[in-house]
Formats: sequence, structure tokens, C-alpha cells
Amino acid sequence: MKIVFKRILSNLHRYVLCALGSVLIWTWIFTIITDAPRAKKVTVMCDTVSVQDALLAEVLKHELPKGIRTVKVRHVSYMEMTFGMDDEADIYIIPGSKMEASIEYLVPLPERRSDGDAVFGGEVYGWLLDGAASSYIGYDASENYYLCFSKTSPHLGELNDSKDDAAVKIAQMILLLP
Amino acid sequence: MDTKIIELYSEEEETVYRKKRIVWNVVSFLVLAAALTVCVFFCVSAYRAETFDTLPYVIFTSIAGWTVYLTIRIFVIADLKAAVKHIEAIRKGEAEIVTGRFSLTKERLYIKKGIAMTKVNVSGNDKVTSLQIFDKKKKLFDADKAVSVKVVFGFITAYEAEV
Repeated sequence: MKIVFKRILSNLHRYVLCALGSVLIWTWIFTIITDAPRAKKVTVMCDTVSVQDALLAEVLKHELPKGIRTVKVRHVSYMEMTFGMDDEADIYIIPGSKMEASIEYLVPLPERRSDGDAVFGGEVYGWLLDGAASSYIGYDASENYYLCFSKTSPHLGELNDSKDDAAVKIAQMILLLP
Repeated sequence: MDTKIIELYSEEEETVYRKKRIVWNVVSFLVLAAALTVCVFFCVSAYRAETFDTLPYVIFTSIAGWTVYLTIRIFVIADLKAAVKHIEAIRKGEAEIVTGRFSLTKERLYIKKGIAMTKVNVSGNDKVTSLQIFDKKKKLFDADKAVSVKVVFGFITAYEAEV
């Protein structure tokens, strides 16, 4: 028994490596196979304390805009792990403290929804979330959070002359969520 | 007093271990292939549903498959490989005869990438006080009846027993 235990211990690194490899490789494979082309999906990137990504995506998928196959919800930690993911985002949920630094990636919005919206240089860049979708998103109580749109999104309709406005419709759904 | 020689190693043994090694190699790869097949099945369903729902099952199946594979390699195939090497060495080595009284101890030794062996105490001999016996040969060795043993590299390979 002692020998068996010793042999397991001396090979423990192999077991651990296989377990870690399994988790990382299969997660990566799943990310690829469950993904849809950018033209057929809307991605919501949340720079929040936490987000129940699968649950929120499931809710937003209930009424998919025409031509959209799926909605992806990502926490910002995911962006840090997968290079280039920030280019894929259509909707950002950003804390007020990071708004100014993010403006170059955002599209100006045509109208204000409330007095608390993020305005820079006379233009509106983010709609105040005011606790919207708080059943799915964990907010830092000391921050205001804004819903913004990526300049490169192909789903903003008139906002950046793209073909469809699926991201705007999804954003409206988020704003109405409890 | 009549005695007889009992050989612990035979020529066919090496072939048997080699064959067993091939069989276990096949079994270990089949386990991996089965695990991979299950994972692919879950991947296809994930692809169709576009969800991560089956990811925990895939990770569990993958870890289970690798664990069984590694365990077979570490505890079965490595032992068989070491046994073949050991038998090859024993057959090529020079034998010497050791006389005395022998007693099997409970002290087991294992050298990494080697075989498991048990220590045999020798009394009534001025030169040799202990020997080893390959664990798989322990049951064949009747220490109480042994009057002399044939030794190669410190391993008991045959013994002369009282009848």
C-alpha cells in the first residue's frame, strides 16, 4: 500500500497536468465550436463585478432579432484571456471610472435617455444602466454603469450605417430587464 | 535427505510479459479512444445547441479517461516493461550459489522504473546476509524448505528444496 501511494505521489504531476489540460483544451474547443460568425451574433461585454453570462445570454436569446443566431455575454476577465475578443463586442457595460478611457472604441448615441447618461464633448456615449438587469449582473455600488456600443459593431443600424440594428434591440432588452 | 531444484524463471515468461504488455497498451489506447468518442459526441451536441451545457461532462469524461490511461501505464505497463528488462538481465547474468537458512521479510523495495522486490534474510552464511526476490516470484519460493539458492545480481532465480 505504501509503495502504491509512493508511486501515485511520484506521478502526481502527470495526473494534475492531464486534469488541467483537459479543462483548458476542452473549454477552448467549446468556445470555438459554440461560436457564430460576427454577422450572426451580438456580443455583450460586461466590465462589472460579476455577470451570470449563460443565464443572461439565455434570456436575451428568447427574442432574437432577425438574422441573429446567438447572443454571447462575456465578462471582461474573458477578454483578458482571449486576445482580440474586445474587437468582437457590440455592446459594452462599462463603469463610469473607465468611460473616458474607452471613448475611442465607442459610437456616439443619438439621444439621451436620462440625465445621468455619460456625456463627453457634448455627445452621449453611454446610457445609464441604473440597476437594470441587476438579477444577472453584479454592480459595484460605488460606481455608475453605462451601456455603450462599439464603433466597429455591424449591428448598430443608423448609428454607424450598418445593415441591421440587432445590438440596439438587444441593448433595449437589457435596459428593461429586472 | 532428498532435494530438488525449483526454477523460478522460465524461458516462456519473457514472451508472456511481452504479450501482456501489448494487450495492456491496446487497452490503454482503447480507453482513451472511448473517452475521446464520448467527448466528440458531447461536442457535436454542444455545436448544435450552441451552448456550454455539456462542457462539464466533456471535462469529466476527459479527466476520467486520462486517469485510467495513466494508471494503466504507471501501474501495469511500466511494471511489465520492468519485468521484461529484469528477466532479460537475469537470464544474461552470471549465477552463484548461496547456502544457508532463508526467511522472507515483509520489507518491500521499489526502485523507480524498476520492479518491486522483497528482502530475503540469510543466516548461517558468512558472506551473504540478505538477498532479494522479485515480488511476482514470492509465492513460488518456499523459504523454510530452501537449503541453497541460485542468485543473479542479488536476486533469487532458483532454489534447492528439501523434499
